[in-house]
Amino acid sequence: MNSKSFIRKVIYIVLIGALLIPLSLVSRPATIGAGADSAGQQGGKLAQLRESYGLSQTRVAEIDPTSETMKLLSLGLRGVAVNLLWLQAMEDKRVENYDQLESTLNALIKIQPNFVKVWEYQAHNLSYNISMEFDDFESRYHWVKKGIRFLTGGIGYNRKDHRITDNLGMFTGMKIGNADEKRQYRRLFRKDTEFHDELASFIEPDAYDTRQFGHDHWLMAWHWYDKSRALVEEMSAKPYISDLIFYMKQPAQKRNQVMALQQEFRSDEQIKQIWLSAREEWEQYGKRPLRNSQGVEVTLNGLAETNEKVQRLRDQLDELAPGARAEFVNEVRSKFTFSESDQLILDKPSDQRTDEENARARSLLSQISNASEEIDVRIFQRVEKTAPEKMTDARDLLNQLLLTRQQLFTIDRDQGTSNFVYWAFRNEAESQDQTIAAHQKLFDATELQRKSLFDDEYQLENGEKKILRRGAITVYLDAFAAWSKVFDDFGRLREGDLADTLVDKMVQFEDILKIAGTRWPMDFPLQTVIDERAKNGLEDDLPTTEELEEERSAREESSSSNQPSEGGDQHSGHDHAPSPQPEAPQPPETEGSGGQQPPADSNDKGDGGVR
Amino acid sequence: MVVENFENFFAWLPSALYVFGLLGVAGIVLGVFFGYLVAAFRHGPFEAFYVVAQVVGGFFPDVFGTSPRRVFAIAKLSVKEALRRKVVLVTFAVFAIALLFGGWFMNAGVDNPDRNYVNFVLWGTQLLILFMGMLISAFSLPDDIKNRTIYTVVTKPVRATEIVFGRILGFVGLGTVLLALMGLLSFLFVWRGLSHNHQLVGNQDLSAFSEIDPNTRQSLSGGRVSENAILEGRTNIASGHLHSVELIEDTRLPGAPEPENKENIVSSKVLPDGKTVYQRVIVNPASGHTHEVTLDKDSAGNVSRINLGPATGYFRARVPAYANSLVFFDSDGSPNQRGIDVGREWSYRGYVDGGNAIRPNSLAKAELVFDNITPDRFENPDLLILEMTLSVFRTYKGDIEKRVIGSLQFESVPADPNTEPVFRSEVSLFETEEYNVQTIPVPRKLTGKMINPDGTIQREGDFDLFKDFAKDGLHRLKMIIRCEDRNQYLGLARADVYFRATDDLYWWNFVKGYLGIWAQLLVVVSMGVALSTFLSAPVAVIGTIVLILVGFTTTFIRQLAQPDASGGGPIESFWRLITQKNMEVDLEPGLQRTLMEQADTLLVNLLNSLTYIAPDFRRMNFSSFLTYGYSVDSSRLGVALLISIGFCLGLTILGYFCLKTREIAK
Repeated sequence: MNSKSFIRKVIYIVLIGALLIPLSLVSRPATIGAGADSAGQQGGKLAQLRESYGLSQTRVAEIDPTSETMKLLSLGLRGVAVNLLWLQAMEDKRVENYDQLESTLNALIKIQPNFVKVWEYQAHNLSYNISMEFDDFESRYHWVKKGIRFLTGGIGYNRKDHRITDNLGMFTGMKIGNADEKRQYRRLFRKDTEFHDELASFIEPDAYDTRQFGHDHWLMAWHWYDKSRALVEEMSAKPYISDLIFYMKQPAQKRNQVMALQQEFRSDEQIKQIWLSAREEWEQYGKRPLRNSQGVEVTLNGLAETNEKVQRLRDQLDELAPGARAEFVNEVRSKFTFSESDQLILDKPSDQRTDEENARARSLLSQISNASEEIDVRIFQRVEKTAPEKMTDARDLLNQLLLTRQQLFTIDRDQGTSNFVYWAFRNEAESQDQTIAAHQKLFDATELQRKSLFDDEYQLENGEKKILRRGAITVYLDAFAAWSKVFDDFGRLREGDLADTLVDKMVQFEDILKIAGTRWPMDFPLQTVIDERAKNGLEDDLPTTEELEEERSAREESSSSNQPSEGGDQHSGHDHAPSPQPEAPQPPETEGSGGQQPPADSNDKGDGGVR
Repeated sequence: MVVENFENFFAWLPSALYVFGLLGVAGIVLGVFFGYLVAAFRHGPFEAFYVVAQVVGGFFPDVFGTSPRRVFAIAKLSVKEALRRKVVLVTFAVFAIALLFGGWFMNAGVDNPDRNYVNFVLWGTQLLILFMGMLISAFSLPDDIKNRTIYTVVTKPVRATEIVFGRILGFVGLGTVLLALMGLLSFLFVWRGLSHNHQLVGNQDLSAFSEIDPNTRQSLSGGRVSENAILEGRTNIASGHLHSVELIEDTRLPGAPEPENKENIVSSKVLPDGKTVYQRVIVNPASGHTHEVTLDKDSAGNVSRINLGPATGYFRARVPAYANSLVFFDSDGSPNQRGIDVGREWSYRGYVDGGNAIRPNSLAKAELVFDNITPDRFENPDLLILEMTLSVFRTYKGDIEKRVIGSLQFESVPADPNTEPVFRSEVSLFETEEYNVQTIPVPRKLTGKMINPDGTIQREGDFDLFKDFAKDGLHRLKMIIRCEDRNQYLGLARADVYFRATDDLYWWNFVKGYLGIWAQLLVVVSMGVALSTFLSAPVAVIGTIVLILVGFTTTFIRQLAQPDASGGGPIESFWRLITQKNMEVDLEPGLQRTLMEQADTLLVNLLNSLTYIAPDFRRMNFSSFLTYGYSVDSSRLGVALLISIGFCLGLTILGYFCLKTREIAK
């Protein structure tokens, strides 16, 4: 009995020993500097798998002692420790103990360093949720940086995962550049040399230093996305998002950068060059083959080409069953009854539709497209019945046609998702000299407004006005006139955020007019933009042509009843006068100050001196 | 620092004695009852009476006959035995290793590294010392019994009280020595870890500074500079942070005292109006500390070198003079204990609003009443330091570059408002610094009004904070805090605003923090010894762990045992879970519901009573005081020590009876 027990124990020990051998082989870590061709040096299967997935801790010399110690300290209860630390982190956040939260997260992440979602979630927590809890913008910026810093810690642990660098791109780009405090954040970032040095091991500060404009976070974001791109293209990292979105982000950063710069600085040649660069990158994006989750590969600028191909294939299919399409189209058309408004939308060219109209048109076209597919299938069926010898050709054509139609639909949808056409258009428009000049004028006007220099400063010489310095009102009008010309050439810019920015400026212009006691000019250069927006239901709080006309009529009535003499309306007569300079309307004169003479000391500078 | 429980030893003592008494009576009744049951099982019901009476009757002779000499002998023996087990050595070795490699976890560059360091050493010490205390106490007696070495003791004329108490004393004594060593090493670890020096970037003189643009008033980093700064420089990065260094113009009124630190004065000049302007170099705080500046000057009096000293501000033990009461008033002026709820998840702070467009002059305010505002409590009675940690809630962004503005006003609290005048200071505005401890100097001379009971002003001018404002018998002073920005809110709790009295000694505060751990050790060792008198060692360890867990989660368990808990008790909650009824849905009345509610009441009461078998360990944990740099007040310390001694006493008696009834001890 005893010997049996002894034998059993020996067997157990031998089995345990035997199992340890494969276990040690599987788990053996690689040694640093291991050659790729040496299986022994590459470590066991687990180490190789970690290596192939870009997880760290595969090599003895690369093991992070802090992380390993933390894992060891949890005594095999890593899951429990993680849960407790997550609960602690949530509690720290609830009781606003943010210092402690940071420490808890640092401990937590050491235990689960290869769980990318944890890095993403907690970095977002720091940069977005906690930063906004602070009243002071400097503290908020400080916590935005903490999130970015936290996220960079995940790169080393997840070397083949683009989600970390993607998020870094989003945090450095959007969090800093789209926040309410973006001006302050951008200012702080520009001067934050310590932070730039801290991240120098990832991105060289020179790479996002735009010289005269300083370090730019949008450009840094561009580099983070570039790292993501390199991970996927050069290191075969698994892409976690669709090509459309993945490749869209990088070129968008240059555009964002230049738009932010135009808000802060006077546009110049360098800004034009950035626009050109943004345009070039967007064009490259348009040419890039993008594969979606259904395996359909398209290029965004291939709409026309694909359309032509559809047309060509359809004609070829029609040749196999002459007259069938007309027959089926009539049949199908009878099923579709578009309302008058839908028909109007469909008749309108796509670049003249509003966003809502485009969405409606897309929905209607989708129905038609489905019907078209149905027709193609029915034509094939007709060929099958009437000319079975052509069936093979017909099937090939049908398959090609269906695939191309799908591509067409994908391009159309993806163009909408990425707003491809608008941005291509915008890039082109913005990189023109005339648009740069319009930006310059708008910037000058804003600066003059900031300095409260509203009116022109002039001198009377021989009865003629000699402008010494132009005021914000004049420069604004000049700028709006320049924008009007830009809109004439690039009509589509009337939509989107550029128009919104201009409307903001128009509102500021209106405020200045009110301060200066001046009426809104009847020949305002961008009046059509205001009218269109009002027609589309946007409430910009700016006077429409209709309102201006009503106001003028009321004023004329009032003045004719109060001042029957003919010369009574001389002060507001300028409202009707055509602009002497076609490219830049004359500034409206201050009410009651039209004939005012400058004081004797008219050489005085400043807004209050000469009018 | 968050303080939810303002301990007052003398206010606590009567209720504590009452609870202790109740626990004692309950313990006696239960002890006698179970003792009788066990005796009845062993000796029969009639014999059991005699056995119980004999054991109970033997208690008093044993207690009064306890010899300190024998107790110390047992204690000595316990120490030797514990040392032989090497548990203590291993504990110390683990702690030493943890300190050696602890720096890895300290995350240099966090906002307040001192908190991390102190937290780490306290947490580590607490964990290890309690674990060690539990092991040596729970294994000692069962192992002695198992190895029969106990016979060498019980065959001597030693009383059971002496065995139990001697062991507790021995283990606690050993733990105390170990704790002292750990405390000393921890102190050195914290001190060494936080010590660092900076140098200026560039030359080590004023040429390293750059001028501040008067238009933007922005620092080199694009942020704010001090209001009176004229030049700015920065230090190099050390310990993961840097400081901005400024040359400031410190203007003082005629007769005002000179700056305390004269080593950092670059120059001084007297203005025609009698004011003195000192140009001083200061280091702005970062990561919870600053550095003293000393200047070397050449023979012409020009600054030849700027020297930055070691870190100061880490090792502090602030003594806060908290308000005795905090009352909020809403925008109508009606008093309210909790203030406005702005919808934050954490309801620790109440809020006051700054009015809105409809009601621009909101009457909302927070009134704090301080007692004992006397000059002897403060280091510099001429300039009191008011510290605040206010919360801000914005309903709209407003001016992003400006922080929300609050105001302060002081008022006397006359004993009889109908006959005595009230002193009311002028309102002073301040910019809030949310989540930071904000320091506001309050001069002893406050400009304000002396207002008669009928509302007429008797006198305007400067009044003395101590002699005029806080002159009544209780030296009471009222402080009023308002929010001065429309549509914005200021939040505060009672512990958020305090006058900073003379600081405590840091090392002494450190000792007090460790006294808290010592109190926990005393309870754990007592538990271990008491349980090991009637349980085997592993069971005694598990029992002690359970008691420790109960002790650390007392608050949570009591929250669970709230009678009005949403969703009902455990059975009702389980029922709701399986029937997919959410917590707000009313259950249908009937027998089933009544039964569930009754069973829940019983279970909840049992759960609640469970919390009394172990002390609330959080009341003996002072780590947050040390972490945030506050002095542990004597009331709190007294409460902790008394709780631990009380439990030690009760557990000693329990251990005595259990040992007495065991065959071995007879």
